[in-house]
Amino acid sequence: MDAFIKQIAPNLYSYRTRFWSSLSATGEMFFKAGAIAFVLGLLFGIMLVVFRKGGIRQNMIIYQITNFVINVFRSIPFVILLIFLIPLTRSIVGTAIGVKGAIIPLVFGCVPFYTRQVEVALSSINEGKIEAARSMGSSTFGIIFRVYLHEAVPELIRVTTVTAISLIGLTTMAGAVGAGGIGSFAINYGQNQNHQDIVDACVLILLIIVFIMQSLGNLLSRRATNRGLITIKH
Amino acid sequence: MIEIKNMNKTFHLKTGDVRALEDVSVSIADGTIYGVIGYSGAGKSTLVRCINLLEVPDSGSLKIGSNEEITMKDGIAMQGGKPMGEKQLNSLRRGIGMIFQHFNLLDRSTVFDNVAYPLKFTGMKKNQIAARVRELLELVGLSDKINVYPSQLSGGQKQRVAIARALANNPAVLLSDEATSALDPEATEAILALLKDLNRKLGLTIVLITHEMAVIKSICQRVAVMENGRVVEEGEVYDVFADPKTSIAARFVASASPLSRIDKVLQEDSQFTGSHGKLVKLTFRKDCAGEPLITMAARKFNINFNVVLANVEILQGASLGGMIGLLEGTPENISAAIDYLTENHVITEEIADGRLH
Repeated sequence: MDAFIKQIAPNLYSYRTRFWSSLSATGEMFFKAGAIAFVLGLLFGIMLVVFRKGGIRQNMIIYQITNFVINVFRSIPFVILLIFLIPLTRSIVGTAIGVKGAIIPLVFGCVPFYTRQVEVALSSINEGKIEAARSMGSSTFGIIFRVYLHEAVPELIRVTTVTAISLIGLTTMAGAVGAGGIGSFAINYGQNQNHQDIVDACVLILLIIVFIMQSLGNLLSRRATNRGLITIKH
Repeated sequence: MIEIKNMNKTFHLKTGDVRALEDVSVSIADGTIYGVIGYSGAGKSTLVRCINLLEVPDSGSLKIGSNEEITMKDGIAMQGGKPMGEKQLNSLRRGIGMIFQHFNLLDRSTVFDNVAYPLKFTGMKKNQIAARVRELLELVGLSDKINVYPSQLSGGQKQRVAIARALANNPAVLLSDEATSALDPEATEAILALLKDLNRKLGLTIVLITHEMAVIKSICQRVAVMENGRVVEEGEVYDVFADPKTSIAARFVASASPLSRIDKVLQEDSQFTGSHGKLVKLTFRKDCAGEPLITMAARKFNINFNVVLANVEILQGASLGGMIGLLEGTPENISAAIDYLTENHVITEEIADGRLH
């Protein structure tokens, strides 16, 4: 195997330790930023649905503010957002470079997108189910967790998959401005040094990651939907 | 007793204001099946939602059983001079079950979990919940479907699950929002029979809204007819059927009565119109059944009575006879015969231009 890779991708082979460390840096950015974005996106998504006009706790002020902030950050291209957030990142984590410095801009880049997706997923829940829960005297939290989130699980898995894939894209962009990871590896060791085999390898590994994510997402979403086919013993 | 007094509710929509309730006052005695009928947009859905305060009326008052009266002020529900909080509203709603046209079950939960939904967070232990769910499913006749998902059930079965869920907290009142409108005739009949049975067994007060007079006819004791946000007619189902006072009530009654076929008969066959007799509709209430009134009138006034359509309904165990016939004879005799029938409590109605209403 070693000999085979050495033969078809000699440059990749000589930089293989850097390749693996870049990959793990991408993984670290993805999981850290992803975990924070997951929580915040769900939170803001729920807020938009709960506080909107006709929502279970209509509050136009909170809704408008959340909606406005989400729209603003969604409108800024990610590369611009990266440099725009440098002072903020520095004041929070002490540095604006490396994996550590990339987490905050990644969260800012990802959360607005994910929030919208969560909002759409939760809005797909039939209003009648919400009304039925209200008629049973269910509390606001009861309705959020036991109706909205519970019923939207398959849809939430789908939108989380889409967001995760787009987050991979964002991490490679962050790499381009000094965050490390597979993106900067492809540019610095591949493109800049004219090593096409390194660029090709980066493309291949990203394709594999995206393919695995999509398949996993589809599988889980389908599992969550097809409840009619599974019986559970009480 | 549910007492609704002077309720008003206006929806402010972009397209303009809609007065969904206009000075509505209704009282519903405990243990009755009370029907509310009207065309869509008449305000019946709003009325029923104002009973469990899913919608809060702009003004008016609501008293349910022995609970303290709730008065509405500028769209806020006040109890004891203070605005009701979420907790108070929720505890009020737990005492009132509700079922819907489209069932509104949780698709990702089993029948068991759907019925258990209102029981969780009420302080009941797991085994108590399981026992109660079994009891409820037995009540609605679905014990064998406990671990099944809603997608595997028929419409009628889904509505049974919804009924079990609505009754989980032992409410005294059940609100039914077009609960049979999405069901086929057979399932409709079965669900109505179940509701009647629950009403009898549990003493459950049922407020049922529908646009189908057949539903009212089959299980309700009293009915309110709504039009444009107002209750235009209210009374015992028998009385409304026997003698509707408003044209809209008459339209609903006709929709559920075979006698309304007279329209078709007249359209297809003109032998009754323009003939020398008079086409009349006679309604025989329970107080005039048993007397051979038509035969007696015919003998007494030397007229012929040619029966075109006849029908007997049993409403709340009492019979209601309806007949459309052609009276033939001299004009004086015909009007004397009609007077005679009217004196004997038969409701007589001449069919002007060959149409009923």
